[in-house]
Amino acid sequence: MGTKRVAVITGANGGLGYAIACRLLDSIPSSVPLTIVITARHLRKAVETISRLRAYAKGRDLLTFDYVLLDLTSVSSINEVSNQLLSRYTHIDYLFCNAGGGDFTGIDWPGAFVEILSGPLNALTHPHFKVERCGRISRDSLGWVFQMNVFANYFLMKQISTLLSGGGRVILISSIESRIAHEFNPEDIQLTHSDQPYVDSKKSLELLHTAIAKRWADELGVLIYITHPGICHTSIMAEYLNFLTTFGMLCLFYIARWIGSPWHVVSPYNGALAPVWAAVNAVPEADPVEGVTYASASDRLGRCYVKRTDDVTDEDRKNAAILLEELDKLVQDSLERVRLESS
Amino acid sequence: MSRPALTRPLRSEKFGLERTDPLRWRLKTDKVGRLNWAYIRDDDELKRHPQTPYEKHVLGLETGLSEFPKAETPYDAALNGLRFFKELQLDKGLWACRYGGPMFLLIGVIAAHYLTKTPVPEEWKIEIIRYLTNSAHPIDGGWGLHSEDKSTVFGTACNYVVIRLLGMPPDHPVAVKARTTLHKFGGAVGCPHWGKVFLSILNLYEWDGVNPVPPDLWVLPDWVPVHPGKWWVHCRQVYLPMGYLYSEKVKAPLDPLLESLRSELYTTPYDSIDFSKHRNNVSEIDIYYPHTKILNFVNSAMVICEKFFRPDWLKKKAKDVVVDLIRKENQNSDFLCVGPINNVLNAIVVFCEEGPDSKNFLRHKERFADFMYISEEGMLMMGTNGVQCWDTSFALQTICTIGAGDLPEFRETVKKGLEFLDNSQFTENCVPGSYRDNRLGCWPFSTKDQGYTVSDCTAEALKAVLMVQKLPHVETLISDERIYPAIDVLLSLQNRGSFSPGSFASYEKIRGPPLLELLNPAEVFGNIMVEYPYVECSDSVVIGLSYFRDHSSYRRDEVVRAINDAVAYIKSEQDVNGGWYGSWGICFTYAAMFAIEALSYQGEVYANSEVVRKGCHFLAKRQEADGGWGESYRSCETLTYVPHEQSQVVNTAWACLALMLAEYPDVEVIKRGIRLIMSRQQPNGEWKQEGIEGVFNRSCMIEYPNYKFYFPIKALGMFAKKYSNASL
Repeated sequence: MGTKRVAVITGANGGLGYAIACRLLDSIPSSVPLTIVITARHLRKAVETISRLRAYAKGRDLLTFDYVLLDLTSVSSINEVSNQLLSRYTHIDYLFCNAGGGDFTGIDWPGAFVEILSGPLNALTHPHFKVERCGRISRDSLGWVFQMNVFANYFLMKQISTLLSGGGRVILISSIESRIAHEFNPEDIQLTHSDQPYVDSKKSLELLHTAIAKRWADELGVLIYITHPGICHTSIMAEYLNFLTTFGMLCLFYIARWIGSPWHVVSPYNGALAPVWAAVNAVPEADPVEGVTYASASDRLGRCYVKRTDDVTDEDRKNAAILLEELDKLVQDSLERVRLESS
Repeated sequence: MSRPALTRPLRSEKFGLERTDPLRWRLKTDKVGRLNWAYIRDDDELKRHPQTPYEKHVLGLETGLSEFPKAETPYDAALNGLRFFKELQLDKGLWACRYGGPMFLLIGVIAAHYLTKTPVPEEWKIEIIRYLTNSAHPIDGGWGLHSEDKSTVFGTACNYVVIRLLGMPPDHPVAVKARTTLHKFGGAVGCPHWGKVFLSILNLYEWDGVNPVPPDLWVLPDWVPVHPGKWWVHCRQVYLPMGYLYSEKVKAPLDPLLESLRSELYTTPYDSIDFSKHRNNVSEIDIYYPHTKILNFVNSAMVICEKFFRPDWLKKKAKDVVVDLIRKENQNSDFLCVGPINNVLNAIVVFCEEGPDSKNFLRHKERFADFMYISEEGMLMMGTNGVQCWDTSFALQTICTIGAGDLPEFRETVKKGLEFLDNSQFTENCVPGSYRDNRLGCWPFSTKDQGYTVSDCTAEALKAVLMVQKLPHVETLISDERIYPAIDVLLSLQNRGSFSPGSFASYEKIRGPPLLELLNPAEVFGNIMVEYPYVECSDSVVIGLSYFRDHSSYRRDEVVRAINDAVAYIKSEQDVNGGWYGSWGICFTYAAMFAIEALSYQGEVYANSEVVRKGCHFLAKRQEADGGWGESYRSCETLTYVPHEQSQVVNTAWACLALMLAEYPDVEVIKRGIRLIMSRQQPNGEWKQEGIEGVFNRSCMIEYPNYKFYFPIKALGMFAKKYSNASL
């Protein structure tokens, strides 16, 4: 890698993505020339984010920003973004696959009360009361949530793998909620029949990681870390919360932390700890890419640290292989689609 | 997504589109630089007027100009460049260029033709369809705000209508692709404001779905802060005729073609759309400057007022005031108007008011052609009626700066250029009551007919005139007495008081509070409501006045004070890492060149000025590995330095000029840039077109094709004169 470092952060306008950018600025010494490429869906958001980050970086000199407009639910958008990155950069040091989302319809408030009262810590760590819609299909005829959270990341990584090879790192962002995912269903890989596609897609993302981490490290020299931000206040459910409920949620988060939950890091900046640590500080010999999830965690006093969990089962490995086979097929289909579109 | 560079063969050829015979196009001009492309059908006339090198160059034909042995030294390279560039000069002494880039203009001129039942010339139809085919996004087939932009609803809806009105069938692959993309964006209901206005004029959208453009504001007393007379000239001159058209609900009569378009532009049947619900529906893809809450409130209030509380006398009064001002604008600009948008809108108003055979409408019809430009890729519409004075001023300055003005082979070039500037100086003021400043003695950006001066255009022309008239063999055409009024105007344009004191804005002094920007209704542009202070305009004025200060003692104290105040403003605009944001060129390299030149004329250089030092370090740190500089148009959008995919000759020339003027001590840095410029020079002395060079309103890019000639020539020549002319 050259002395110039290039970081790509997808969805940098959102809570966690923005926090990752800030944390990255704090983690890389200002003497190192750094380029932060943010992706957003629309120019206005990209421009706003860059101006906020510029203010955050306060006159840091060797800092360059750039943007690409990326729509994860469109393979032709991903393909174009890849071409742009390939034409603009000779290498990418860090790719934060942060953007994603779910097809949420709201919060099941009665359910939430019952769940929180009957088991507060569990309810605040693995909530079942976020209501998801089932069966949304993207314009590319793929499961919408699956495409955004799983396939898009893989397709992007594949398309720009030459930029990453020889030392680049990819940071995948999972969620603690993947632990309440349904069992992997080879009949419904695109999760169009799942009643919680967001949660299940995070599990699939972990399986994707299991399937490729070792091979990419060995063959391409690309280190793919899977991380999760713990539980923090991000933009993902913001539209279903008002001032009062947001305040209530934050109170509950703090209470959970005091009770002893390591996962309630609360702020997005804390949530960005593990992703940025994996990119900048992790040492491959001591911090293996494969079989381990690195998560942002916090003690009772709010001191944050990176917590490891390694719970990949043989069953997971088997499912990972099935998933990867499907993803590789989809990559071929997508390339064909892009070829047809441009001819 | 931004788009890849033009590839050969052109897409229009792949689709087998008809094209006109490029050998038949001729550029007609007059002594004030009017540019009219004519398609010559008569063979005898063709023979009488063989194509000039410039015409061939623009049409992508072999110019047949001589090739030179490869230049070994920077000075030889500069002269080879100048030998090529000299051949592009038109016989009236000016340099012309295609001023393309904005992709929302063609709809205006085509709508004006359609509504007024003015036939579009066949050769225009063919070439406009070719241009739009070639400039469509290679993947999704849409168009954006400007030629390098991703596809947007605005660009795609408007240009789709253009190709259809010009005769492309709806099932042509080019139309199908564009329409599919438009539908993917949700159809034309998501068009920004100006798009909605054009569609309404064509009866393809309903006026009650357009946010109000009240002409009534013009009836307010002049002192009211929101009075349109205080707005930026481009903004007020566009909303003036728009207000008329909005208030009168002008629309073309429905016909089968428009009926068909109504069914093509939307995702649901036209009659089922409640347009009033789409006033604020603007596609997220298009937005650069979103509505403020205040604007939404004001708009809603105005809709209600218009329905229930607007007496007929007010409507009539507003109409009279607006029509009067439109006539004055036409008179002051000889029907060219400040830009292509109000040009076509004014034409429609005059058509409605005075009828198709009126003298004024006929004059409008003649003027449409002044904005249409032929190129290798087809016919485009320009952002103004040209860049004649601006380009000619820089060309002359370049020749003088590198000491080529005395060489016999360039004497005629210089003489003709000066004659053009002589013919272009304004000799009369605007008619009273047109909300215009004095312009006597000033120079325009484009032509004398068009009648608008910009602070920097007058200053750069002034500098060019003074430089050229110092050459021993050149006869003085413009006496000092003719220059004094220009100085008077420049001094009067300096902002004083609360609005960025010391600075210069573009066309006028800042007249209204920047808070008015909260009411910016355009959605796709930033900073349009009032005049803003601009670093480059201030730089140019400082440069021009500094030349004048050393030339004459006229109003010496005031000139010196104006320079000092402007310099203080320029310094205050430098950001912490040493850059200046460029508002009219891309971007930080452009502004750095102007700022450092202005400072250098005050004796501020690297050795003695912290500001200049910071400016130099800013540039030096951004030099690419190949020795060049390259800046993307994304710099303008994001207000940060964004590198281009490749080094650009124009950016490299700007950066090198800045460093040389600053007397930057590390000559090796400059030398590497100079070497890059030389390496890109073609055997005939020219440089090939690279990325787009200019910008306005932060978000819309615009072409300055002559930049790639005179700035590299100037950089090479200056290097040879300042350092050494040894072989590099």
